Amino acid sequence: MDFRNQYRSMNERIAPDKALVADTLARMARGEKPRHRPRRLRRVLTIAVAAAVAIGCMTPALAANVPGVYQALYTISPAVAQFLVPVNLSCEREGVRLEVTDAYLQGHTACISFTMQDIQSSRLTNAHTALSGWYLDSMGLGSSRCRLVSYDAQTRTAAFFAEFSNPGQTFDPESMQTFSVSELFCGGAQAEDAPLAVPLSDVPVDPPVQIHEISSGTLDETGQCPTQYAFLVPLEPLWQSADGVFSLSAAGYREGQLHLQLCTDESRVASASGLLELCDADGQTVAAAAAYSWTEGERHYTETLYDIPCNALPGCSLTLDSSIYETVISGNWQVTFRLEKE
Amino acid sequence: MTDKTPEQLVRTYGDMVYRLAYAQTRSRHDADDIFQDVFLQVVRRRPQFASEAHEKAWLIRVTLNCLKSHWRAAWRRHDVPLDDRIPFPAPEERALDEALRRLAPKYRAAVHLYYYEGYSAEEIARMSGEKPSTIRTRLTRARAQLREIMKGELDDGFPQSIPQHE
Repeated sequence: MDFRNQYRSMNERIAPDKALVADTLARMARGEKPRHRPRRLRRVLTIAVAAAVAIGCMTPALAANVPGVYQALYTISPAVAQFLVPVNLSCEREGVRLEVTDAYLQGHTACISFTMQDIQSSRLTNAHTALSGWYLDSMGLGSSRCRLVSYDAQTRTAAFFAEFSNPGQTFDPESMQTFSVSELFCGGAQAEDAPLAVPLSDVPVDPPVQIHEISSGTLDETGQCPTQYAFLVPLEPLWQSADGVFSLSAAGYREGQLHLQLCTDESRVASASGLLELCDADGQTVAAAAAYSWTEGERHYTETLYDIPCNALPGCSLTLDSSIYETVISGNWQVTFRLEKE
Repeated sequence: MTDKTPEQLVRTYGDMVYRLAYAQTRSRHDADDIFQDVFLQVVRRRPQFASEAHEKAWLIRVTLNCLKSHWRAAWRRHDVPLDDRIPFPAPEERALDEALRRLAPKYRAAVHLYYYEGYSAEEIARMSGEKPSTIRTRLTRARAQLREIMKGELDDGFPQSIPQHE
């Protein structure tokens, strides 16, 4: 096999699809920032072990009349939006209604268009919202993502679009499907590019460390992550947010790498996450080499490592992207449906 | 000075950015994310380019940085690693795709920039912030790994060593 020619031939067929290009251009026109991980649209990894869906919990519902949802869906995934089939079934718990409005199941792909409506009180007050434990029971082990499509303040309804993909499995649109959401996070705020006035050129070299069990960390090239790590000892905060949720608990230079430790204190909020961004003197983002975390009670410490020489630190700047949710509603909402044949 | 609109930048370099992102991640979903992150950074940074060569190199550098951040963030994502590869129907292509998937990730970008984009080891080193010797070592080791994985099916077009001076 001629590697160079074979590799070239294969790559000639790799290109972004038109929907991605269109969406990217639209976002560039709006001046959006690159997506950052603080937006916590998570799902539980384990197979959903749930009690049988109470049929009484599901009711046919009026389609969520959230303005602009379909237009927004066409922007996100025009290839799929036109094939969405109405479902219009809902489940109501804890004063929140989950309604599956439409679905698309074809081949290795499943898409669910759904809404979460706060019908009890003013908890879901803006578009700053996230979900946890969203899952389609038939998808098996695959990849998924979920994004907020729109928010309607009048009805306190957030519309989402979830996509599931598993090349090792074919979705059967005629079989029963159960879509579930465990938790809804709402309230709070999101901030981007908050500057941290920390003189990085003064960071100590070889500061004291202490060993902790890692709660999460960067995988190496073999897909492994250490179980323990020598973290910097947290000190008097070098910087702290006004609400006290985020603080820079330690900074130092070790083994040729800059270590910056962010502490997130969730004792006063339902959920919080922050992401540091280091820029060099030219304003270019310095990519992190690795990151490791440990947890003590409601405090989460994340130490990020950067391959940047000591003499490049003057002129560097540090910012924080953060997201705080004040309320978490645990509803374990589930909707079971089958797409009807036309 | 080049003066492309954002749309022109995407049209001119979109395929290049996407191919580099896919070469590293071997995942369509991840390549989608990195593609978008790169071009949103163009809007954010509003860089001025002295030439088209500078423009292209800058976009490659941003893509490589986004790829590094992607690997760091892998632990945050709760998606189970997915096999959402681009299908290659021909058996030889499937075999090479599988071999590239098994190649250590840190070698993939260098392989792509060298064998597809045609950059020298020195040029790749400048864009990635690595030493030229590091890039040459990665390319040599990548070749050895691919030969091992493909069990001798790779031949022409794959020299025994990377030239030291280019």
